[in-house]
Amino acid sequence: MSYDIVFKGEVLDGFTEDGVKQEFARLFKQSAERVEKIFSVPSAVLKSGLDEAAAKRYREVLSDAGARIYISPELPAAGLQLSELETTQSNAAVEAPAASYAIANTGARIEASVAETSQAVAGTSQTVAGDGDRVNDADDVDAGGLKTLPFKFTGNGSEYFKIWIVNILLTIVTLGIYSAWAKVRNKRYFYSNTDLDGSRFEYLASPISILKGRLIAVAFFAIYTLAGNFFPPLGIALFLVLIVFLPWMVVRSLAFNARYSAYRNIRFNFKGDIKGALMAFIVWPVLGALTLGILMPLAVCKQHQFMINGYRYGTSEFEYHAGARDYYRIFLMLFGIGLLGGVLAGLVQATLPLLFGLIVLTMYLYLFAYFTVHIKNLNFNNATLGLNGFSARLQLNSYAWLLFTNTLFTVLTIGLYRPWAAVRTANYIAEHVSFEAQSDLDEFVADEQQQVSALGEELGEVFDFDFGL
Amino acid sequence: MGRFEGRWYDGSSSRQQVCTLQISERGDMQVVADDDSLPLHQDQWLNVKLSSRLGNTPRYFEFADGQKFETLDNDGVDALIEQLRAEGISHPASAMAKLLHLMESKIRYGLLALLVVIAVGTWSTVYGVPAVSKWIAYQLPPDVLSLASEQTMELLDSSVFEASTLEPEVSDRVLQHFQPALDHYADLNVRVLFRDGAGMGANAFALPDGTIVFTDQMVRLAQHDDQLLAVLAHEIGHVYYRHGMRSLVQNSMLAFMLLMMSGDVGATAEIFLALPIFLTEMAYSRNYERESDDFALSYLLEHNIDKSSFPDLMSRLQLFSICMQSPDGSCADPEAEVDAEAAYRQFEQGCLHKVLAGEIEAPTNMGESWGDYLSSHPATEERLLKFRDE
Repeated sequence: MSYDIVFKGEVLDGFTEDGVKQEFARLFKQSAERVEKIFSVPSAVLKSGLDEAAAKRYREVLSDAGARIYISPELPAAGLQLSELETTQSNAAVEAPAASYAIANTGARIEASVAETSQAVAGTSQTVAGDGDRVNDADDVDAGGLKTLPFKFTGNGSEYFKIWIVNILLTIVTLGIYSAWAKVRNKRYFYSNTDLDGSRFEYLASPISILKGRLIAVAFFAIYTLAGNFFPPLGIALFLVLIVFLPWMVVRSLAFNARYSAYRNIRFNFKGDIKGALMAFIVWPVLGALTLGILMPLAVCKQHQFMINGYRYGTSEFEYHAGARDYYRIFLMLFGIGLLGGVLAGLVQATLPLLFGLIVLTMYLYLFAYFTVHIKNLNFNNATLGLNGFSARLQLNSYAWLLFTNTLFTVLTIGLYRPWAAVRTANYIAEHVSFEAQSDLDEFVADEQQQVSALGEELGEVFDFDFGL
Repeated sequence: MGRFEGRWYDGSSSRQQVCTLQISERGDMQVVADDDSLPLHQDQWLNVKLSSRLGNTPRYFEFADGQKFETLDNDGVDALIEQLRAEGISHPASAMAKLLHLMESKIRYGLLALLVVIAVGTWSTVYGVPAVSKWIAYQLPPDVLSLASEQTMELLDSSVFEASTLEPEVSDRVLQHFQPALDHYADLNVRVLFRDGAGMGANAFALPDGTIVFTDQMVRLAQHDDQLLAVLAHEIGHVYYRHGMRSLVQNSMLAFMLLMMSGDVGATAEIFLALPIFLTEMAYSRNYERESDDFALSYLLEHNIDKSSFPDLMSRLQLFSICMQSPDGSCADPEAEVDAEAAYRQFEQGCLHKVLAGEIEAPTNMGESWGDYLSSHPATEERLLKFRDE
């Protein structure tokens, strides 16, 4: 099977359209007008006839340049609407993978390898120019067989309220034992109400295995608390033990959750190793702290790379293409907004001390919303599953409003609004995320099953390590 | 007997097939693909693993080889379970699951559950948690108490306190005065230590193993030793009732209970969860103080000591802290960088003198205020009344 590289004029977060146009002109050695043409149509096939590996390399290079790239299986020429642009002869298809490989390897940005790169790009540019003219006017649903499949959330607040309150009641009545069942029912509610292409997700963990893990975690937590109060050296020792086991716990926890999540009766899985977890969750964060936060965005980047690259759906692998640059951009903005907010809060405190608390709270929510929106968009937009991708379009204002109203109502109702808040959030995320499928979703294959103890996850949860994406 | 529209997933690929499941009175099932009418699977009702109903989420029939049939016809499946039960084929899909769904689906049970949760939550916070933590605190062996206290004392000595600067004759005199009380509660192993309170100022507190610390500033603030004795009685009350241990256990239990009840509240709501926990902890703390005040009062009455000794020193303590917080305080002046420590000491001395000379006026608006709910101690006014009325 061969693939097309499709561009729909979309620019990734943190890049400007003009910047991407310049990159295109440079990479493809094209005139500004021709690049404008590519941007002016709903969808353009930049390159076709690629094998899977070559298609992915193209996507990588072009994503680095700031363009959102879709890979779609090549359709017979009849299925394409050829554009009004002149079609030049497609050139030496065999060269293309080699050329693009060169781009990927040298990294088109690196000045030192200009010579090699420009040579490689020159090779590419001819073929790209040739195919770049095959511009598709069709709606994005059928840009070369590519389908945008929206996520849908079908739950509603009052239905969930009843489940939620019964969960709490039974947890209290059973002195906490039922909390494992409650957790499964809560998760099931959200998984099973999430629809993609007519099928729902499933959460399949058994409450008993969660309960076992939870009991061990609570016992450890109790000992840790008591030790911390009565005999700090033992508390410190236990903390070190916890740190040593943390990578193992992270892997277990991610694997447990993935293993017991399924879609269309095919389970997810997590294949990250303990060494990777050690780097991502201990070494990098420690380096981040030692450098007073300068390396922290890099640490977060490493964590996300570790997690997303570790996931599998059946035998298909997730891949994550975001790099440190993307994270630094978000963190710098966050820092800037925070600084500005701090100054503003200081001014308010001097003039209207009564409003101070409100301003600080609003700032906190706004920063939280900024972080969530940009990180989630980054995560989804840079994650691929095989040749499929995701696209997320969370918006700062609408998400901040959602967060603000949810928090306000939850506080005003002393927590009773929580089920509605959770449903609204799930709804919002589903509405703003879609799956970019290169074909129908029938071709994923199951991996052989394997049980994973719930302990890793429960230890993580009691100690409040939230690894959720 | 039954007929369900749904989808078929074979478990080895993500292929989805629209299909129909038919079931007979004897529980024989057949799944047929809709597009080509080919049979996908045949099985018996009792071999099927049926997912429990949860709201209106899809229901799954799972077969032995891992294939699944998914349907949205929840009511139909529930009716089928009943019909087949009537036919004598009772699926192990338990009665519990049915009961659970009944509770989860009717708003009247939801509201009932809400009432019970509120009632139980309130009861446990007000009575349950304090009672259990009291019980636990009294079960703890003395070794644990002394271990905890030694650690705390070491920490305070290295971070807050400095060595006492009281003249030896003063500390000896005070200890002499305390001796009868210490003997009276010999089984509590009370020992009294003096420290320079530095940043802590005038204060006295008790540790679980019976160690009671008076700061030099506290000693200097007292007009006569009976006032210190009254404070000692109050602190012995804390030791006697094991308040230190109880509050530790109580606060951990409270946080744990709320965590268990609320489950995952989300990152933004967590900061709001901290406020009720804090308010409840402060309420617990005020109850302990009242208990200790009562303890001190009965000790004073029993030993014919002027009971106004306690409120007198409390008032002075309050005046002292008012003076220390006054805006003209040189200690609060950031430009007094010359020797902040010395300036602070000087200011402290000034306040001490003012209080001892009766130069500080008590504020007039000392009634109840919302701020009381944020305080670890009852309002001074309330505490004074107790000792003056009786």
